[in-house]
Amino acid sequence: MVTGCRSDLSSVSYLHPGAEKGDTKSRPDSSKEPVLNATVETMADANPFQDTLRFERRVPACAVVIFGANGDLTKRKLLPALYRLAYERRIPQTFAVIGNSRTAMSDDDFREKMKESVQKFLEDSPFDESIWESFAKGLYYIAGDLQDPQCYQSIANKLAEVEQQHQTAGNALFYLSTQPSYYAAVVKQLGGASLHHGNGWRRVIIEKPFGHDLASARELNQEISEVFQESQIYRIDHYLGKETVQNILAFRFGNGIFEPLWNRRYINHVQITAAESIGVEGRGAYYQEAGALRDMIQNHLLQVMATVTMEPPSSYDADNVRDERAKLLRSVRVMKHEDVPLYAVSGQYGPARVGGAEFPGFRQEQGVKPDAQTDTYAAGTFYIDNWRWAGIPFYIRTGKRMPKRVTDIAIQFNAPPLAMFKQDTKSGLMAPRPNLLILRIQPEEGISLRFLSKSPGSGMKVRPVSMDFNYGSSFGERSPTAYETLLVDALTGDTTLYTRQDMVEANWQVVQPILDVWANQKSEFPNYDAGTWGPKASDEMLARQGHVWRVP
Amino acid sequence: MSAVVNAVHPEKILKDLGELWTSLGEDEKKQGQPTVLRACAMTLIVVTDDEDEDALAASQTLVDLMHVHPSRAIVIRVASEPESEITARVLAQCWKPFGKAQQICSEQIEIQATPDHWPDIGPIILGIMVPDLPVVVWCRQKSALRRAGSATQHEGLESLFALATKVIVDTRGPNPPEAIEALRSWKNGGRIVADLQWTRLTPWREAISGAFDEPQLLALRDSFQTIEIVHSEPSPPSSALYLAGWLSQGLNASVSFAQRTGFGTGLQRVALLGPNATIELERVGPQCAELRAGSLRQTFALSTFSLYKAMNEELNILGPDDQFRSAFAQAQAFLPGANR
Repeated sequence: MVTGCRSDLSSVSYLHPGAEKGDTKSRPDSSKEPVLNATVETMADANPFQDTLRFERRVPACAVVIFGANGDLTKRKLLPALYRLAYERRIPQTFAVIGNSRTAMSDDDFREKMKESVQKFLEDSPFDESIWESFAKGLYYIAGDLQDPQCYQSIANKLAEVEQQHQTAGNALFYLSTQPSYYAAVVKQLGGASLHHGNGWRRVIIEKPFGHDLASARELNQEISEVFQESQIYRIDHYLGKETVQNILAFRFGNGIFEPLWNRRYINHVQITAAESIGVEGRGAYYQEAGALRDMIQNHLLQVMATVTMEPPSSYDADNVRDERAKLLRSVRVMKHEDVPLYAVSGQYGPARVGGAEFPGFRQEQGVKPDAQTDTYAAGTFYIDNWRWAGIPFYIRTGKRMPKRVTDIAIQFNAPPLAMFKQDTKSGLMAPRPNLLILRIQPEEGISLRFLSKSPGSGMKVRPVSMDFNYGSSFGERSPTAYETLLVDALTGDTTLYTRQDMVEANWQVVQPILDVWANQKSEFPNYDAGTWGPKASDEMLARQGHVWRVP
Repeated sequence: MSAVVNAVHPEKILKDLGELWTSLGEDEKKQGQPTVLRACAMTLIVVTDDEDEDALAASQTLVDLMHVHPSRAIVIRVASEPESEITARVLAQCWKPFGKAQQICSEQIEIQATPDHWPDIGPIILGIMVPDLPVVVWCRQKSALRRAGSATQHEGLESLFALATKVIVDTRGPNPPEAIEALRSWKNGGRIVADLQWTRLTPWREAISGAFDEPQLLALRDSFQTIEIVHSEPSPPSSALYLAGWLSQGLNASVSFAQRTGFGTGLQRVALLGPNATIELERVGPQCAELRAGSLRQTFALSTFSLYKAMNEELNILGPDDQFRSAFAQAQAFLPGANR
């Protein structure tokens, strides 16, 4: 009898050198992939025993090389996500991880460190010692400086070793979880060590920020493109991996009743809010250079807006979805410099007492200059110049040290043409409030629809009621984290939820004028207290259009 | 929490359900908790009887399934000697998801009736099923799959099946040909009927399919000449017949069955044999199987497919299952007396 048998079924799948198994979904730019891969994909499609109705997507045997393996992202997100995938038997037992950072560590030290992180940061899941033991056997560590070619030679040697020991067929995913300033250098060194190609597929995941402005994004892309083809590049935006962001597409295009209303005829305006209650939490030095506009709006929130507003793709595959998303982003009106003060607001929090505790202002945070001009709050009014959305304002705001952590999208519909009923409120009667559809991204993921209902009792008074769909608890089942979803996608060659270069550039084009104007002005910061919903100027920006920020 | 319905009228059951929900909400409010969340994705009707030896396990499975498929569960128990001829009661199954304060509750209605009252059940269900949502019937009555089933039972089941989006049965038992024959008649007219014996094959099929992801083996597909299926039962169980049917669709090979005691019941080994290649998948322990294909020799977990796992998989698929439909059709050729 065999004991200790608990590997997953996906481990039965294996590859011969060069095959790109698992890439059964359509991939853009496949014409640029090596011919061998395209051939194999065609043959894999011909497998008569495939059952997409019941079989899980197979992650092929492969190795993930993490640069920045001693960093926060690896500890908090990547390793817990990979462990969770192993726990759910969604990655093969032969899976291997090679961590790299400058810190000297043995494989065992690395395993111990990662174990602590997984135990600490595993969300909504139990930790299983025996599964960890099995998973940890595939963890390796190479210490080395990112600038040193010898480091990449060591990684190449380890990959060759792992290819034999773990039957990875040479498949490797490089995860750049380093400081952004190293991205170009790491990619160049990967090319120098010929790690961008091998016996199997080679892919690279790049974390945000992808550049710090339009010019640097283009330059970075140029440098990466010299080594990797676009089809090998996975620019991660973890917001797109969130279950509820994906659910926006299901909600819009899986139902017939919303899409007819989803346009300028019925929608009055849209508010997208991403608020954090925390401050910069030790990231002051980084955040000082980035700011809220770059950190949140340029990538996550414009992508969320694109998800809410894009045209229906002809099918749910990477090419079509990303084409529509990109088309939408290109339709976002680029502000003229003179319009920026009217349509964009920056803010920075000052010290305040919240809930009996004293909170420092941004300029008092560790590592932050006392006269920092960084925006810890950014809001903008954006317009989409296409037939569906012309003239409809999209208000986007994000900030730190807000009253609570919340991300949602509020779609406000037009009021009925005739106010036939009065709304019953505690303070008396008022004109009825229009319908509101809230897509809640976090923390309580779900969808709410506010509509009016007759108040009980005599008289025809109405009051708003909310119909809630709570995504997580309605199904009671744990949803995969964004990183779990996106890692499986990258390992199986699905780029649908990854950002393409043209989308990155379109995003930068939208925010670039705002960045330019803000860089050349001296703002009177701080202009909002910690624990509030941002500067007064932001309220005034909406008031000019006759709108009011809702309180999430 | 439960309430007994004194008279079995749909309105009365619905009224009692309404009161149950109100009281649940009030209890929570008193405790200062957020109110319960009512979730419902389907009506799940479970038909069981005295012969159902695993009724307790099935009952627990039903509770577990509610976490993933919140439903109005209606359990129909056909009992020879119930307290009275037909009774009903309503109860709620509540739980708190990991790390959440809010309770989620699903409702359950239990109807107990003597076999004579089978025809009365259909109209009751018609009044209490959740409108506009799928209806799944999980038929656990073994007698329903036997020729000896009574006319009343047949009539009662038919009235339920007529309401169903999908019917789920389990042909695991002593006489697979008879059960498959019953299933064939139920599937007539395009009705969606799933068999948990097919569901239990998923890990076996997934492993075999995985082997054919290897292009070199896929290229040799036409050279496989024999399919050998080894099972522990004296005659091939329905799972072996389905597997034979499924493999026959993709391979031009003859099929042979053999019996061998091994680890537990059901399939023990499947081998695809040819002059140029062999693929073998064999159970090598109670929880383990080994796949041998070309240069690959891989041991992997093949634990017993729990009832929960099988039902969960089936409830995720409410539409037609083309692979099962064609495997089922092919499996007819391997029934005793069939012309191969």
